[in-house]
Amino acid sequence: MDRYLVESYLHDAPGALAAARARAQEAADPDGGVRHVRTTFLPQDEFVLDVFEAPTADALARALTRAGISFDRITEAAEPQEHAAREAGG
Amino acid sequence: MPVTLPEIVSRDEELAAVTLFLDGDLPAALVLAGEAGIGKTTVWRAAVNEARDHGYRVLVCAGTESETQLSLTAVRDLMDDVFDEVENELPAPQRRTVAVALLREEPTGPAPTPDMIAVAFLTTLRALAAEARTLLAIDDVQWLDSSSARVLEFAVRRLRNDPIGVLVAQRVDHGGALPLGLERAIGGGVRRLYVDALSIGALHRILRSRLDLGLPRPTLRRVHEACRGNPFFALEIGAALKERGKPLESTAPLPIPNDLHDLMARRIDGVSPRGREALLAAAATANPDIGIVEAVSSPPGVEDAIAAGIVVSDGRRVEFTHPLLGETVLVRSAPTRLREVHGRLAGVLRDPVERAMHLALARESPDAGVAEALDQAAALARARGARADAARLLQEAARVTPSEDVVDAARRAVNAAHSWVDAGDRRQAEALAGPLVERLPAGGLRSDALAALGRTVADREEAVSFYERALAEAGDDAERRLKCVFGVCYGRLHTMDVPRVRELARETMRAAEETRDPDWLVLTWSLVGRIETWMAGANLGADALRRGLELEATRDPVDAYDGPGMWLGWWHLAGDELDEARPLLEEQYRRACEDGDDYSVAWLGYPLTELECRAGDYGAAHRYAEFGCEVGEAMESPYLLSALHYARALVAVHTGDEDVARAAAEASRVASQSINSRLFETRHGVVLGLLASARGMHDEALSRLEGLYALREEAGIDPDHFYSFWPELVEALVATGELERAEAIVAERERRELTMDRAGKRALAARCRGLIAGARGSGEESSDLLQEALRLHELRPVPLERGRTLLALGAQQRRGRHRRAARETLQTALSLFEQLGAQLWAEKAQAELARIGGRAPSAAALTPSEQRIADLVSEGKTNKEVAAALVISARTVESALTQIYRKLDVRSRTELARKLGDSA
Repeated sequence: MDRYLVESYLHDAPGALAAARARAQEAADPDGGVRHVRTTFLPQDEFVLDVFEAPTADALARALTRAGISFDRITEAAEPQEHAAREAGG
Repeated sequence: MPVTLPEIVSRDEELAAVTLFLDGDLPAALVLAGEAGIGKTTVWRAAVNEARDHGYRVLVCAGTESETQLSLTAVRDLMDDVFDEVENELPAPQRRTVAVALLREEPTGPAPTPDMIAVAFLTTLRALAAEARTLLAIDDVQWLDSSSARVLEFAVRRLRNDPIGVLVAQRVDHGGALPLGLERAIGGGVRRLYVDALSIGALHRILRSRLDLGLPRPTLRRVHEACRGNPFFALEIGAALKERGKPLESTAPLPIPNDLHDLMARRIDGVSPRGREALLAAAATANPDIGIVEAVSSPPGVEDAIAAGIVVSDGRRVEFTHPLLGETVLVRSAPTRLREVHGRLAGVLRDPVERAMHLALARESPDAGVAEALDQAAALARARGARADAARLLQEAARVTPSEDVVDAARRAVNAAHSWVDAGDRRQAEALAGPLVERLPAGGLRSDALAALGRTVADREEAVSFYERALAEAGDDAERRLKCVFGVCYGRLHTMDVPRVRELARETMRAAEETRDPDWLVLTWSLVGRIETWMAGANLGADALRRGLELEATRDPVDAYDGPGMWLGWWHLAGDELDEARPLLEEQYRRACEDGDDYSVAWLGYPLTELECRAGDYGAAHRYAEFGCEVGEAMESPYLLSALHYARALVAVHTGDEDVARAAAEASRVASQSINSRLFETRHGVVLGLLASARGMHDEALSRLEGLYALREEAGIDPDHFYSFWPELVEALVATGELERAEAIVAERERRELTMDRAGKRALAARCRGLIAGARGSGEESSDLLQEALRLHELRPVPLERGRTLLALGAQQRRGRHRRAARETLQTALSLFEQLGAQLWAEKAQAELARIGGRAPSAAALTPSEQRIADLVSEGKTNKEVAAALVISARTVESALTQIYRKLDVRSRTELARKLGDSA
């Protein structure tokens, strides 16, 4: 399964990281193959970086839209094998 | 109609502040400040929409940076949609004023003054606010036309409990003054919010939602750095990148200019030629009606400009999506091209004044026909009350007058200078008039230019010098001579050259009669009457003033300061004829309030303060003085401040607030010095002399007042005119043993008073004679004279003076060992002083009472004023509340409490209350 980085805007406020993670998890669609991996929030830049696994970028975009998440960019993300394996529980 | 807004990104704090402002107490103001393109208008528009959702009545306008902007454009925008609704609630004169200002009716009769327009605007606002909370929403306030800005400042300054909010967007860097005098007007109810740069994430969201552009982070970071978080700049950069098509290499520079204007220029250059024509037409006019823009651009190209996203249209008007775009269009247009467009606009616009503005801008070379058209348009602008427009048009008319028409060109330029003064722009007037004076030959026109310079300067000596020169060149033209003579007279009064003024004033009668103009006759009778009353030719003076008043009643009144009513009222006041003075002064005050003539309202506070001090209503006196100072501060007028700070000091002397009296006297002196007015500067010495006398500091009273008395005599001014201080001077002379000098002054006063038969002044003379007789050891004679003074006081009651005479009589009776009579007289005096709130005099009466029976005043006994303060404090009032109730400063309350605690041997308010309760 490919990994994708989703960039979006979130206003910096108390609880922003938890809110970002919660909304990303809402987009997860196990049946559709969309899995939320992790969320990073950059408060100074008001940038949220979500990593998802998904069959395609379009499938991920549809899942995000269904979850009501506005995003600004989806790009393919390449990550080291051991990283992916650790997260997969391998 | 509510504006549909794009998604608002990262303005949560700003929008929360808007909600707080709209839900909060009114009146209040919110200023959205920031650099160009930062997003102020976006937040402002959101606030306007939210206000409407909250049920507010919203009046909207936006300043525009346009050289063709007419006066009162913003006021028209604010009032146009609501006039029909409220016109029946406006008094007829105000309704007419607004109708003319809104160009709905042609001007007939006297031109509306800026004050009249401002008053009508405020009445309209209040009528709307009576039905619903009302919001004045102003975008780009820094570009409001100056006439509208003055109207709004006037209205904002008067908001008290009105449910009116003011929302303003202001292009400014951090700091700087708040617009429209909001700080002074609303004080703590104003908040300024800086709309700051956006984060990278927020910019990315905007680029995505508005341009459908997603950028890699390195590029996004560079865009953010280049635009410094400015969303407008970011969108321009984003549009350029999108147009480029291919991705940017990570190390390559951004392929765009660093300057925002250049960036927008490239965008504008991308519009079709006919679209660019439409843009230029829209940018060149202050009111870009879509029909006008289409008619002027050839071939029509508004649709192309809209398609390029540079302008939008609601079907009626064309507006730039951002003011910076309009600025860029103008800045980059060749002057010849711009002139051509102005010429076409002049050909299609209907309003004569607007047409004339464009005609002027279209013309580079001289043209007699254009100059004449501009001259006529200036007259129309003036008739509408648009004084700044009149000034500009006259200035342009002068510029395009052919060089061979020397006289016409000069006449127009001089008239423009005077019009700029009328419009309140002295700097423009000076810039125009100065070179004219250098250039023109001696004669009538140069006289007019010199007179214009005389009107621009605050320094009275300098003003007189210009007017004297103007008078020397005025020739035989009666009206020109009159204007110059008045200028000289007003200036010379300040330099205290009163005999010269009298001579000139009498000459003006001849010139005024020559003009046969009733308005000039009113002004001249007023001037002659005023000067004669100052110089103790008082019967002549009063007669002249009455004559002027009768004539004025047959026509529109002149300004209060120049008119006979105020000066006749002041003459009566100087004679303690309060019943005659009051209706005259109050009528002038009422009229000035109705006309919205703030300047006259403030100025009238000066004689009205003196009147109320003489009448014994120190609360009313305080209110007049305070309001006058407020207006003086708001108008930054040292002339007003000199008079009204003196008025404040006078009230403080009467109530015994020494700190306030000294501070206000000093403020008056500083203001007088700044305009170089010897006359006004004397007030400082007078009020400090009165204070010293009230405190029994006779040496200081003598040193302050003796010189002033001599100065006034030397200048030919009757010392009784303005606030009379010769009784205090005589008292000081008696106390310091200079009895012969004291007697000479009284004799001089009696010679004048008997001529005029003024009982109030004869009462003062009798009291002074009583003091002199007492000092010479003639006790019985002294008592008889003081009794006579009391009898005369009954004819012309001035409570404080009666009290002082009772005090003098009681002291004399005590010295004559008539203890019972002394006690009764002094008790009467004390009760009177306490009733008035004349603290220093009450303390004197208390001290005299304590001397009866040979006892020194007891250190433990509270003075009457201390007793009043102690009573209020023990009721639980704070120092501030006590100060407000007794019309004194909080500092005076504090220092009195120190004394009270010491005398009663208490350490707290609780102990004080208990002690007073025990002794009750």
